[in-house]
Amino acid sequence: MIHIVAICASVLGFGCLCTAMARHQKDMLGRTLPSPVQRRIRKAGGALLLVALAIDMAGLGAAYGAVAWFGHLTIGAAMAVAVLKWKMA
Amino acid sequence: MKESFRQSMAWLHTWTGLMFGWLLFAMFVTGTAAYFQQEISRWMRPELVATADPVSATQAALGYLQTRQPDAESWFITPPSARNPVTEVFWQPKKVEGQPPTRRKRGETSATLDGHGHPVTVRETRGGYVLYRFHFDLHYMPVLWARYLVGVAAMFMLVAIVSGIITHKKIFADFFMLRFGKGQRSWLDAHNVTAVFALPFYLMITYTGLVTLATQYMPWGVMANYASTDTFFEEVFPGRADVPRSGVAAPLVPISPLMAMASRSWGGAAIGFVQVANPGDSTATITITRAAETAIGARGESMVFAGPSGTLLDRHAPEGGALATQSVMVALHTGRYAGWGLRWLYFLSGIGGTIMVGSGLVLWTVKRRAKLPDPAHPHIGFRLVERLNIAAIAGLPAGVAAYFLVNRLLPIAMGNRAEWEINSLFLIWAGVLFWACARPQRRAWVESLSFAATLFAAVPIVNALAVSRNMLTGLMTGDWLFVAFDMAMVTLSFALGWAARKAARVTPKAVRGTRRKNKELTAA
Repeated sequence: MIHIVAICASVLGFGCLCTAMARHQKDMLGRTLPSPVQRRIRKAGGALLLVALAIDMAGLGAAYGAVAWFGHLTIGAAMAVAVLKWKMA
Repeated sequence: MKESFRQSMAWLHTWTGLMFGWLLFAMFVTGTAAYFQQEISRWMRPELVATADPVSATQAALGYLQTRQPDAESWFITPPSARNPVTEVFWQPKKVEGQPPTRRKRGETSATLDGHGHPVTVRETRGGYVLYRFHFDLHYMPVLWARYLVGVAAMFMLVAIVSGIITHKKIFADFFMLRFGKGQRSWLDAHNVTAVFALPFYLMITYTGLVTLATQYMPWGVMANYASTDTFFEEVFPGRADVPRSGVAAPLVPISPLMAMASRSWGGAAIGFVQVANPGDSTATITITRAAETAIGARGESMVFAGPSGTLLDRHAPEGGALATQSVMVALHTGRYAGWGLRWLYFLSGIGGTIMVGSGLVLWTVKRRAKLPDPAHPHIGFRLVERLNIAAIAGLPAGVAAYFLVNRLLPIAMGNRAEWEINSLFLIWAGVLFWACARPQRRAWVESLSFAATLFAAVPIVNALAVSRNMLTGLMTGDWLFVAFDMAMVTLSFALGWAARKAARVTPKAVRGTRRKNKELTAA
């Protein structure tokens, strides 16, 4: 269960980081965003990845959670790219 | 200056990657599978269904050994666990005076028991253990040489990772970039994305992999301080010292209270291993070792009891920062402590690594094909890489699928059955290598990948025909192992089939179309 919650946070985090990049905004949103908004989304993305770490460490213990976090980041980034590809198709 | 540094790193990345790429691909495939070593072993021994209580199974195993091997030097018992339903026992036979210890066949000094201490009737197979051992010991060659070879490959991998990071200058800008249908650009994207997404895993796994065999690769620290490596290991992992038998017979105490006490002192952790030295003698000792799956750095924690009285004689834990660090690193590599969720994350990261190495190997040829003076007749080096790529990327998966298939197809009573299962893996692998050399390159890719996909697709079908456990019965009875295994086979079959279809669709025109874009590509 912790795994699923952490993966969700990680996907959302990478989703934000991806959306904050000008080159992907057309694909994700259909328009480009002003740079202050971009910056805020980027911050939110980074924060969500830290939230995933907090969830992992709280739910699985500090050491085990830290290892799992890297796995969740990998899955999260892969799923974010999958969504991006799906939106583009 | 900066640019030339990056270029030299790109050169380093290209050639270190290529040199050991095929071996690394094989290490990634088998190492990834090894995360499910126990599950593969269970699938390959479908006769085993019942689970047993570890404590009573250990007591029963002691009874079995007492009857069959009363005068052995020592007994070793691995109790059943959540991932393995049987008790594995082996013993060190009594030494004969004046005779050097002879090498014995596996079956002569080991047995697989059920919860009541009866040997189980099960098809002869080495199961997932073969894939696990191939990952660092290879096969058909001396273990020591294999480990040096694997160690050199791992060093090259480390160099390739670091030089790859330096080469990939748009690591953040291209983080989410994955473009399909663009020839070389797509291969580079695939290589980058799989490399970057699990980068911490690759760094960890390569480095810790070297650490697991560090005493072999760098023996000088031990050599400078100990008379022999055996003395070193005896000091680090005590309990191996030989005490001569007194000749006074004394029965062993019941094991259950000792296991309970050990487990309690480790915070309820499971027992991984029970060793009895000088069984039946008044000098007998019982060593109980904590299961490796209970904590990240749990290696080597043990308690020693007197056999006849059950009094606690000694307890050992890895001492010192260096040993603790090493044990955590080895644990991170092997993932024995990982629960189901984390185990799948390990497995998926391993798949990522397999794709990364595979796409890197293909990229080498894709990048050079467009620049060949005569693409229709490439030079011998290019052709060699091309063929070895096919043999590694399509051949090994085909071999692994064949290993699973043959487990279901060979007659149960066949002599040397387990050996022939292993031989089948390598025969099919060699067959694909031969095919890759004999056929035109493009056709060889399509045919080899289709062949591997077909073999994987055949596994669930043959399994359903050969044994009574399969995906459907699994779904009905909650036998999730067989559900997951069949699903994994179908997924692998689809992935390889998709790759075959892609390979079939590539037109020479698309290859030529990338030539213009090559100039824009500075990296990799």
